[in-house]
Amino acid sequence: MLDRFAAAIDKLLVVVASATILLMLCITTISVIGRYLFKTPIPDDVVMNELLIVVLVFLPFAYVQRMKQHVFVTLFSDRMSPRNQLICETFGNVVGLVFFALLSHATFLDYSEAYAVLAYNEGLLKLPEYPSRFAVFFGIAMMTVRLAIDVINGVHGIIKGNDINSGSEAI
Amino acid sequence: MDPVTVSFIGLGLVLLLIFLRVPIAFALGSVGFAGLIVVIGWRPGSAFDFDRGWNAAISFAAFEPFSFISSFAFVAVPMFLMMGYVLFHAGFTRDLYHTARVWLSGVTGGLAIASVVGCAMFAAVSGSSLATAAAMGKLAVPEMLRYKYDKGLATGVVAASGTLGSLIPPSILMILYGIFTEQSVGKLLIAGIIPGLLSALIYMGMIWVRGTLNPALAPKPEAVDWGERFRSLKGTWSIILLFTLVMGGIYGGVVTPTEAAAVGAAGAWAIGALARRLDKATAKEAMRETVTQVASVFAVVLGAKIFVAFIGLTGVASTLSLWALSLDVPPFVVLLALSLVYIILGTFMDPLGIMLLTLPVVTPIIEQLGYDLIWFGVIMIKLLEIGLITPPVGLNVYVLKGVVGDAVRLETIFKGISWFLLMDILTLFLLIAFPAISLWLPYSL
Repeated sequence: MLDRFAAAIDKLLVVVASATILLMLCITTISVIGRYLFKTPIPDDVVMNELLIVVLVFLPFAYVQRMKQHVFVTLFSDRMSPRNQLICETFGNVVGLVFFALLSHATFLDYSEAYAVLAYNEGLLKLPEYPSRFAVFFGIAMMTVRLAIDVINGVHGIIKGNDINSGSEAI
Repeated sequence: MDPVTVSFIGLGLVLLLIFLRVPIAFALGSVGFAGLIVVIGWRPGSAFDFDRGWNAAISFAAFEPFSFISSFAFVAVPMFLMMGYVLFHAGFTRDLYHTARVWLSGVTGGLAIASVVGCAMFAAVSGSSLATAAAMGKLAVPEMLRYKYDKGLATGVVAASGTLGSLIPPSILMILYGIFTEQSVGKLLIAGIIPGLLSALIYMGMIWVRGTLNPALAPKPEAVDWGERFRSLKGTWSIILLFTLVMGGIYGGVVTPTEAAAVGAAGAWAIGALARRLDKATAKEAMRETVTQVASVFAVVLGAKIFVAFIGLTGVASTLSLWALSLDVPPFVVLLALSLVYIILGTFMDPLGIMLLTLPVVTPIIEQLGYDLIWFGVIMIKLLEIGLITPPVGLNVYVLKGVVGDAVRLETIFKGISWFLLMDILTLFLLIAFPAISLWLPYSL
């Protein structure tokens, strides 16, 4: 149940990231055209891109984890039995869970500080930074949730005697 | 414990975690974070202060994900990836292979030579040698086997040519190398052009010579008339024009690499839409793959940034630089030793992971030895790609074996790759002996 709910949010975040990259594409292209044809680039186009790229990068983290598309080396684990591969994968998720839980805590502090002072970028448009900092925190927090689900499913599978191919859905 | 020892333990731990199937991003990030706590908390001559280390590590982890990734230079990565995926899903990479095939139809070893072109193009747009080996393995290998090409040559050419994409722009590895070493991304992208083309030409020359000496190796396919050759350009001229505009814009200084990437991506959408090759499903898949790949690459970048901070604080880079300088050997020998390390690492690790793992230690050594960092970027990427086809591991070879199945034995693929490996060593020798091959174009900007 929780797994499916998180999966739906993960997919939604990919849609938001896709819209973000298209927006970045439009801003940069229109700005280049504007600069060369009308000598008027979009004001703060660079700042807008800098604030948007973090939205694009961090929001799909959890989806990438769910699809098992984070870069890892299977050369040595391929020689293991499927059950030991599941143990290795679960161990990797535990390492990731600890790391991303710490990052969630840290980036929440960063977002809170930025929101408290309504931090903005010192460009022409004085664009606020806290929405982008929130996106960083939210993407990392969703990744932490996804890793927690994967760890629970992995441990459940190991206890039940499953292997990496059969998987397990405990929650 | 001195910080240098801590850094070596950290490097060892990262490698151990990677061997245990831990994603590279998690391994780099977690060890980097723990390393920051240890190095900052452990002042030489005083007791370990966990709170001090913890607070500093949390502050770093709070600030860096936003401040480091929020950079205009990084925007080039998603834009180039989007350009590649849109062109791929619109079927243009298949067209490029077809065009190369048709134009080289009367040439000895024409199908294999066309595969070099096709693989290089595919790798350039997909940004992954492994993905190229998988995709072109399905497309080009059966075609060559149908024309009775030698199995070793047919598989070797695909496994090896996929590696060309990391040199030929737009190369994601080059962009990230530029950002991490604070070198001009534009110069790096331009620097890869001649070495990439040289590598491809040397492969092609070797295929032609072997095919001429032993016609049974690569039978000449039937020649195609000129009308069909020109008709084959219908699907590819726009891509070649787009590539020329993007690289010409960077070379001429008209646009920054990031702007060129965005214009290139916009051009890819326009070309795909005008050719009516992008429907809702293909466009959606192109977007999904772009976004997924961006997150996957930047997860490694984020982990590497934390690891780099840890390594930087240990001072191991300057210690190793001083050690390298104190050796009574010419700088060339140190470079050879580093080359060997890269090739060994390249046999079992993803190029992106190796590059980001080793840059903080290797870059200061290279700088101290007096080498140009743009030139070294080309050499490093060539080395990483050689690792992907070096026995006994060679990840590209195993990926290709998975695709071709029982049709070709693993030993045959390794035998076929040996010729390409020899050519790569020749190319590497030329790139090291004549730095102008890499540097002439970027420094004439």
